[in-house]
Amino acid sequence: MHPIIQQAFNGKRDLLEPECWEVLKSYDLPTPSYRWVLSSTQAKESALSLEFPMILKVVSPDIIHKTDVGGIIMGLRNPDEVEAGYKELERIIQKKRPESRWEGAILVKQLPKGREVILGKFEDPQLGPALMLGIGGIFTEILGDVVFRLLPLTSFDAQEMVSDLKFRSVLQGTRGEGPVDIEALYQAIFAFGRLIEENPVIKECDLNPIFLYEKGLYVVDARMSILR
Amino acid sequence: MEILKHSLHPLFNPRSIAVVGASSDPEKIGFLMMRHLLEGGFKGRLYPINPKGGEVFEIPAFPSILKIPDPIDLAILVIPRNAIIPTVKECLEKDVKAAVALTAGFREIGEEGDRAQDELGLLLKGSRLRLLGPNCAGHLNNWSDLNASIELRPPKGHISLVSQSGSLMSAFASNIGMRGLGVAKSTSIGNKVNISEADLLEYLADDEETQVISFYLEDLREGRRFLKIARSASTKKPIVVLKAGRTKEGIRATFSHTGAMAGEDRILDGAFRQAGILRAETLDDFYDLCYGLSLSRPIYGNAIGILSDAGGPGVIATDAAVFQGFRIEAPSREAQKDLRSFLPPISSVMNPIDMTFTREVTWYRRSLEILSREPWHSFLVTIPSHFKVKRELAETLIEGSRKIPQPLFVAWLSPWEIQETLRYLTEHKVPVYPTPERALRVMEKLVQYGRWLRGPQRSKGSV
Repeated sequence: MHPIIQQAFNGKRDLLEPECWEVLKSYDLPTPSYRWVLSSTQAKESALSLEFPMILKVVSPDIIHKTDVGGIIMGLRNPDEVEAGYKELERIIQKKRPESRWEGAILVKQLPKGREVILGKFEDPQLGPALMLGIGGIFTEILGDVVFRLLPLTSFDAQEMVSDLKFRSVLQGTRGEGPVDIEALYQAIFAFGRLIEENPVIKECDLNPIFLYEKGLYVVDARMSILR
Repeated sequence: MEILKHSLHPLFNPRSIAVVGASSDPEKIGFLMMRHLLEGGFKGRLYPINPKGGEVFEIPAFPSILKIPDPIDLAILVIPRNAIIPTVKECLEKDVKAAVALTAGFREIGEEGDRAQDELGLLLKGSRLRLLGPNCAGHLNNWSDLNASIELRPPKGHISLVSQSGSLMSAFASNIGMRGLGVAKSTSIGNKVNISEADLLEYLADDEETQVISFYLEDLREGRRFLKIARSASTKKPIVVLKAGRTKEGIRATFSHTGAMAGEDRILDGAFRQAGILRAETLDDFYDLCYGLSLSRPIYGNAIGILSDAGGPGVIATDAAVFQGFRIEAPSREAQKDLRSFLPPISSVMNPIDMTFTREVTWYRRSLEILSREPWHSFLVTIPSHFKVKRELAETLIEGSRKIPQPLFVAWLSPWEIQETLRYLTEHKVPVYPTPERALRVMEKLVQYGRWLRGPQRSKGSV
């Protein structure tokens, strides 16, 4: 079991987003470089080591849906804006969720938009843990185009999952955009499968969205809850 | 000679049967059961059990199973629910090997039945008695003249069915029989208090008379074990599953039927694919797949050749093939030249190959032989109608199918006119469907099966 997950399990709590990212990184799931900052000054200083534009996301065990409370500030183009952005975040959280535990913010590069996919863990009462794959946006939410496989996964399963998607042609490129890096997706699915398998105390886990590019992919947002 | 027989062997090959609840009253199920057993031609020892004694079908009846001086392999229970537990206790005392309980009123009726079923399950736990049901329609083994069911008896063949619906046994028998095929073993599995779908899969996987295993299921009682056994069984013979209760409303219907709770259905799509199980989406698919799998073999790629003697059916077939994920590629220039050497100038040879209307039955075989040299994996021949030359055409298709390495399917669009010819083709292992779409739906599953058989996933285990 991953030490961060072990720690969370012992502490009877879920993972914070930066902790999720550390776990993902150790399974070779690409995550953008980030800094976990605890003050506006720290944010401004850290901005020097990352690329603009940047995003600030609140870190709090009590705030799951960050966009609902305005807990994400995008489009920060220079260190001054980063500093101001952090203060703005403090103001917003104070106003909307004053009772929440506030553990700073993640400063991360704002990634260009890629083709979105979603990976998640699904638990079947009889068959056990499974992976779920869907194409992000309306394909999953409205059209219900999702594919499942039980764990443990083989690399063949990872490949077949993608070809089972009804709307897989969306991944092959439309409207002038080229095809996405399918190999990277296969590897990510396989790696995610191992992550879930090796950490059975994970209750739920969602990588949503994952941005797929012509070369490579990034996990943009991740959540992991732990069994109590 | 087998030394260790599967625990379900006495269920399908009993040497002696006791029918508890046997009756001379034609209104009773105990009467129907005796009649089916006798009409089925059961050759072993048959003992009617009826507290009133006397005779049933001119066979002396015993008042209880314990009074029978000889050993009993199989006990069939057609008695009221409150008699089940005491009778099963007697079976245990008598060391009966297998039992079938047709009686309803258990888990499928709700809480009260739940308790009765739990009690029955507990009683059987740790014993060697294998019990089918309760709440089932019985079973049959066409290869040992055993009809211990209250359903229609199918002709003898090599498809085995396990059904969570008794009446579907009859529907299946009728459908498969109508197409000229037959059934090896048919089992109504009921509430699965003891014998589960996994047990039956395990038995049928090694059963020599079974070449295709088919399931109608509304839930899985031993899901992981079923999938694990399937993974290995699918390498020996194809497994088809029609799993119902895919919608909320459907699930509600199943609860009242066999009292089963179903999980998320789409997960089964994935799980079945991982185990090499072919899933039928509809009842039509289920019959069509069982038929096609009995006659054909796995297809190891998706490049298809479509041969037709009329424009329209060729186009329909092409569209359907593309929708099913097949690749339609033009034949090589050499093949085109060879085809043009005997086909009329107005024919089209780009795939679909449209020979245009002909009574020259040799054209079908010649075209197939030429095209079989292409790097294609299967063929579909569409024939609208041929009243005058149907027998010769059937002969040529059979010959063609034997000569070429690729599996051949036929869509003969006027089935009503050619019942005998269809039977003839079926006898000679050429699968025929009334439309290209139906043939292609089955062929697509064979491609899926071929991909699974060749795929690297078999080196790693799941579940």
